[in-house]
Amino acid sequence: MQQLKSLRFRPGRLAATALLTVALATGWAGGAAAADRASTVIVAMAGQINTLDPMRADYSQTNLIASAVYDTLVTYDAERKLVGRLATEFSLAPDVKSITMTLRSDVKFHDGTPLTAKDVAYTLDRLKRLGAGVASLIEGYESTTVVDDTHLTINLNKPYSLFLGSLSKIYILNSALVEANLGADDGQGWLQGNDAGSGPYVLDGITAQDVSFSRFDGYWEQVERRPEALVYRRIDEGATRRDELLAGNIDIGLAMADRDAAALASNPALKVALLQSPVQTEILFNTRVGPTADKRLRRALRLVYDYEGGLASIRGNNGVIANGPLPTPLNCRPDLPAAKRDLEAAKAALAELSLDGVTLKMNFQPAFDAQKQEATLFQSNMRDVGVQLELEPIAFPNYLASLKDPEMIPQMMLLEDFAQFPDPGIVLVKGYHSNAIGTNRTGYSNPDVDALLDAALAEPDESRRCEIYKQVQTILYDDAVMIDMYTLRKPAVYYPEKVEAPVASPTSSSISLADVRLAPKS
Amino acid sequence: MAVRSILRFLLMRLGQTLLTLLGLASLVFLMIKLLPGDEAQMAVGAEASPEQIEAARQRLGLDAPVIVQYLLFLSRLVKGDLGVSTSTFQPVLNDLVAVFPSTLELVSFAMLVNLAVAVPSAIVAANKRGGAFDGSSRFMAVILGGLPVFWLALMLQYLLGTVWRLLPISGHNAYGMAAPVTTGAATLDALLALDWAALGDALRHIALPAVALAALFSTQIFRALRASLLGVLTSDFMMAVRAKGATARRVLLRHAVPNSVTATLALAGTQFGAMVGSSVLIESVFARKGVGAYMFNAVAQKDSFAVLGSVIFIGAVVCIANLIVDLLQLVVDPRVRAAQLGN
Repeated sequence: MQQLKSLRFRPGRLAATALLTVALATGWAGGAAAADRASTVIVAMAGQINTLDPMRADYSQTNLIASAVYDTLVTYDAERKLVGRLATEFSLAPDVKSITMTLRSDVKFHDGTPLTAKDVAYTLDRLKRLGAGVASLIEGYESTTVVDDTHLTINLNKPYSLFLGSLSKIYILNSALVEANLGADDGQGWLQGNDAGSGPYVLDGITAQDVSFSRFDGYWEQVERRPEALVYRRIDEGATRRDELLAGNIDIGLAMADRDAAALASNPALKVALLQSPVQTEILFNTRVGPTADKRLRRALRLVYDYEGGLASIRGNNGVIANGPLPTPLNCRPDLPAAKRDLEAAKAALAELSLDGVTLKMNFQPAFDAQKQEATLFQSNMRDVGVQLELEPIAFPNYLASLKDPEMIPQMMLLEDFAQFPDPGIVLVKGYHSNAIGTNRTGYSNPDVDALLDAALAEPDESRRCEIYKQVQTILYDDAVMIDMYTLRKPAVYYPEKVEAPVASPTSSSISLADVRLAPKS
Repeated sequence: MAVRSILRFLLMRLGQTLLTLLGLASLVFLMIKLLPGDEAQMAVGAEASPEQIEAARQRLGLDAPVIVQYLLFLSRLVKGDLGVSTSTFQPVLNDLVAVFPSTLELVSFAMLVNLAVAVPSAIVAANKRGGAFDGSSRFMAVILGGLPVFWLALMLQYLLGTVWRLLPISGHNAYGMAAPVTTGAATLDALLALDWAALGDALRHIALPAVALAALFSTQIFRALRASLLGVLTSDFMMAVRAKGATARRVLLRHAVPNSVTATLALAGTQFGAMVGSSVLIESVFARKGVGAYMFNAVAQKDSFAVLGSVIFIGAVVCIANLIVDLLQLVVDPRVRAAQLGN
């Protein structure tokens, strides 16, 4: 006890130590210089990167990273036409149950191993085994027949014309490397923080704030002005992304708030690029049960929302008013009228329905400010036509769980939705086929639409599929399955002196890191 | 005798800690199961087919009755296994060990700022009761105590970082300045690498987050210590000390402060846990990796093992912090020693 008594509290010393530390923290190292980063591009975006395993490219953040480190067999060009990447030739069999493919012979993984058909087979087989993430896109995958290093046939167990497009989201793994690090979870744990790719960038490391990459000089596609290094920085707060941009600490800010983009647009050193991504804001109806099962009500409600006001005041005019169920950048869209507010017509239509005392309910995700405002605007618009709208926040996991049973699907749900890849079929089949339990978010069931979609899935000819998709969209529009609000253009802010204007990736709601280029030297 | 008393005290506290953690784990487990949302669906993604979701449910053992899942969880927990995250595919313990040093670094610096500001201010204010410093510091305490942490963080960031460019806006290091990662705490890593430039840079980066996090807590310490000091300074035994001819400085620092500090220490221990909880806001504003952000993401993803692991981990850290405070109280206050150890 005597020893304990000798350990006396010294508040003076504690305070002095603390003050010294604070002084050091605020004043020291003023001369420390950051490394020269002229050839490094730093990109900032919000959101946790759960894993770098490209199987989870259904997450925007993982897809962004995967786009730098990995390659896909095919991709979409600026006109949303399917083109080869690792595949030089590809063709869908007439029965739509197999795909033959020829691979480039000059592709190497980052460890120097050549990329072969065996790696493609391994990647697809692994996805089928694990059944998570982008595995949902390769429905019907049976096996891959490897003919030789550069030739293969992908076999499906049913006609599935969407398979080719789905391959634009499947990043090919170095099979030998993953096998060597398989663990007990089929390499998921290892791939969470490691690189098994052949893409234009090699993963350098993951620190507390950054994921960094350096250019892979052995990459098969040499292009000019690809930065020597890339850094992905997670910054969740929009205000912090804005301020870091202004300070010059980041070169490209993604997913910028519309108001921040508008404020930054006046800065002469910065430019705003509006990404033409296939992202659409919409209010989905439960078409199966409750008052919104009545098509007449759905059509009337479609006339209520203030589209122009919402787009201008909430989205800063960064978008276009929707004209159909699919986002405007997608092909194969019929010529449908743009959404328009018409209160008189809405009132007349509502008068024919006995809605006295009925309160409608809409769910929304409170985590998104813009959606919160849009929900409130719609509530106010509904009051203008004498309909009470109750708003109820919902977390996304809860919403997803509700989709298993049409009885549980929210009466109305405000959502931002985007196409995983720019084929209208992926949106229509997943969203409106009556068999698509869990992804059919309106509970929509129409035998005619099912038959058309089944026909499209079995149709090898792209132009004929396109016609079918147009028919489906026209039916969906007539059935008013949702209120199509607007296709968004997400602002990205960048330094034009440093980098070229970012362009939307066809397979995500953002950009592809592989597409980042330094600005031409003037 | 003294050693046996201390051991008995420590064992008792350890038992209490384990019971607390068990209760916490059980409560959080139950809450997760009660919350709507499908863990299996979140594990495989929003677009997964019903077959893929069912396969994941079986693979993750979510098809078993909840009580069986709970018992399995507890059986793994006693072996130190917090399970595997369904979103990062890593053992939850590994994930937490990767992110916790950063939070611990932030909270430690915030605690340092907290005590460095509040303790001397409280001592001076109490010593000059009713004076200008006392009045102004109490006024400041009211103002700072009423400011939302999130707003204060944004304001400090905007003024000191963006407008005046005195301190970095966000992150752990400037580009190219990070020392090799050893612990995950930027300052400690720089120190271990003897990289003074990196250390200075890391200290500059942590200054604003630490101050923003400390502000509210320092007002609590200030008020508690000032009130306690005022009570002690006007007590009878202080008259005896002064009568013995002790200088004013000695009266204050040698007698008044040690007799007033017990409650403040207990408060600081409680604050440690609250700071870990509040760190999620600060980490978000200043783009810092940490356990708060990890747990927030785990809740959003309905990643049960990650949520449970985070809660248990944070709970364990808070319990340890409280234990340390209890031991400090034993050291500094004979009254606590007498009460706790029985001599």
